[in-house]
Amino acid sequence: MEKKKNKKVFLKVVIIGDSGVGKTSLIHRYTSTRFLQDFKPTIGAEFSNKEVVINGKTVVAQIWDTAGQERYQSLGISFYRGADCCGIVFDRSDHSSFENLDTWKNAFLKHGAPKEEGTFPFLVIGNKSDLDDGSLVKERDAQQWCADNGNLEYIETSAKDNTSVEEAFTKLIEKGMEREKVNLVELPDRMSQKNKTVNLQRDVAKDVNRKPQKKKCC
Amino acid sequence: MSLHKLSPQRSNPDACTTNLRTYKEVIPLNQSCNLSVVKFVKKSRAENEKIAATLTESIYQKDIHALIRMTDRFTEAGNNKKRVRPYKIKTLRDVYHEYAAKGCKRVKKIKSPKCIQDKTDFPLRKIPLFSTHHVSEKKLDKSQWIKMRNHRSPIIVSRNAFITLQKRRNASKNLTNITSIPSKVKVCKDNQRENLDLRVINTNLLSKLNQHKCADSTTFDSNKCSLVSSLNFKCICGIGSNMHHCEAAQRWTEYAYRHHSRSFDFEKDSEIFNDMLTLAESDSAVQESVQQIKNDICRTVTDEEFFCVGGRGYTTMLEVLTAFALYDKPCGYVQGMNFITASLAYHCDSATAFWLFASLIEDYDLRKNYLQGFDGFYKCAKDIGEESQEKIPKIFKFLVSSQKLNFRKTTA
Repeated sequence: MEKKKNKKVFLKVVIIGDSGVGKTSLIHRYTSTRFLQDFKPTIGAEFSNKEVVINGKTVVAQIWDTAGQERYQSLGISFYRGADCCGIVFDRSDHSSFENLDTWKNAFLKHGAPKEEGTFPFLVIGNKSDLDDGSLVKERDAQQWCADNGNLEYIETSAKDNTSVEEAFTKLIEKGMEREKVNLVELPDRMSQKNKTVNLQRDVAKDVNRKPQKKKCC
Repeated sequence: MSLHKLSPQRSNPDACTTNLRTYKEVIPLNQSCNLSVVKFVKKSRAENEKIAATLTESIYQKDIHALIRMTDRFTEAGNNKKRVRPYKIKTLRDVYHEYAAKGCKRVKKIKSPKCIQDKTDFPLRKIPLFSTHHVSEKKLDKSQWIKMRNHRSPIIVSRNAFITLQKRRNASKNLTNITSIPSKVKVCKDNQRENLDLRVINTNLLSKLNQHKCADSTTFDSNKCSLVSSLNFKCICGIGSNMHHCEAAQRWTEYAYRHHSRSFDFEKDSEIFNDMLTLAESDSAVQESVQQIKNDICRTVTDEEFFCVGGRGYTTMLEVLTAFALYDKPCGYVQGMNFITASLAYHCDSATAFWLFASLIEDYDLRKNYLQGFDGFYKCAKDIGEESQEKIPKIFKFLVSSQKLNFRKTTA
């Protein structure tokens, strides 16, 4: 969606990842510049808006916070649709959440069904970098995983210390905007699709006319 | 015309079963006869509505004879092989609303159950007690019907399963007899279970419980229960305290068990609860969710020591949720349950909290909200949508037009 009058770009950003990796705190840190002490597990999904200026353009980013538990993935299907970019978060102190990156990425591509599967803008975020006790997921491993999965970008953050949270979201939004540009080129195709829909409506109208006739027979 | 109640009566259970038997004879077993949808012969609309009205009336009054007469008419018409089409009867809620409009006293009772009216602190207020109240009643009847329709396998509703098991266990002290119980308990398949929406306990769980009991029977002592020994229970809400739960919780148990054939028995129920806890320790599937549970408890009520690691609320919640993950395996632990248990943990100890929680999930239709697919959630959303369309049409119109609300389930 683009409003030409205000020159605002609307972007849908979806943040996914295992339960308890800090998705909510990351988003809260970004949107309200505070660290949540009494965070609660997200049920279903929540979203918050943030208006930022990137490359001279005003962007309204609608950031969707999804629930991490597996059961809620079936609900996620409807949230993934129409996303412009996606951030996959893992907990650097929790190796299993790193191993689950594959499943999260695949689930998003499957349910979100973006047009360009290969080039869809993902950003891998390694959260909780402040918990440095030597057993964190190494940057090298994470970079390796990103390189193996279609050259994704990787960033290390900490919602608690506010290290590179802003940076991560800016990157995400920039990526989403690049995708938006590609879509804008496709506009003529969309116009042609609109014509098709008009035809469909006519068909429906005809069906409506037919139905009463059927009823009369009975 | 004498009115016989279809719902089980505490005072005279035998009379109830005989009535059910007569009902079974009247309705052919293969005929699908639901409370909500009955197949009507295609007649004029006014006539159909008349039938529906009397039928709902009879359901409301639970007049078994009227029901039988009605079903007779349906079967008669069905034999004539006329065209049949499903016709939706008014739901019980509609009937209640009508009565409310007329100013009937009966509805007032139903609309505001006692425990809500109480001035005492009631943290469960957010749970829609009213909207699901009559459903549980209906369900109870429905389960009875299904039970008698299926000759081959008695379906056992969870809590009753435990009770029967316990009765048998007490009756027969011989160990060989105990192990033979599960073969008698037949349980329908998983998909059927979903359709029936009855809480059916796993045969495996029953047999495991038995085995555990057998192994432990020599050393097991009810006094061993850690819960029973913790005599000094003090409720946070400050209302006169019992050994195990406060006054408010006492009322809740009474309220939750009012449809059941027996009242809440702390010693027996806590025994079962403890059995489940010990079983859960060796269950790999449950242990997986335990990690998630521990994760979530810490972030349920963060600003209170009561729920911090080591606090009483923490252990209560952990025990209740682990036991529930075992108790209801297809559902298991789902995020969101922690908030309900947290409010229960304020007022009672683990065993009471668990049975109250189980009753909330089963009897108050919360289970569908947590099952895979979240059918209950969509139903609730739809209900809210319809309600708001009726009550606040302007706001509803605005919300729908700006596409901020979507009550429909999007299929993949």
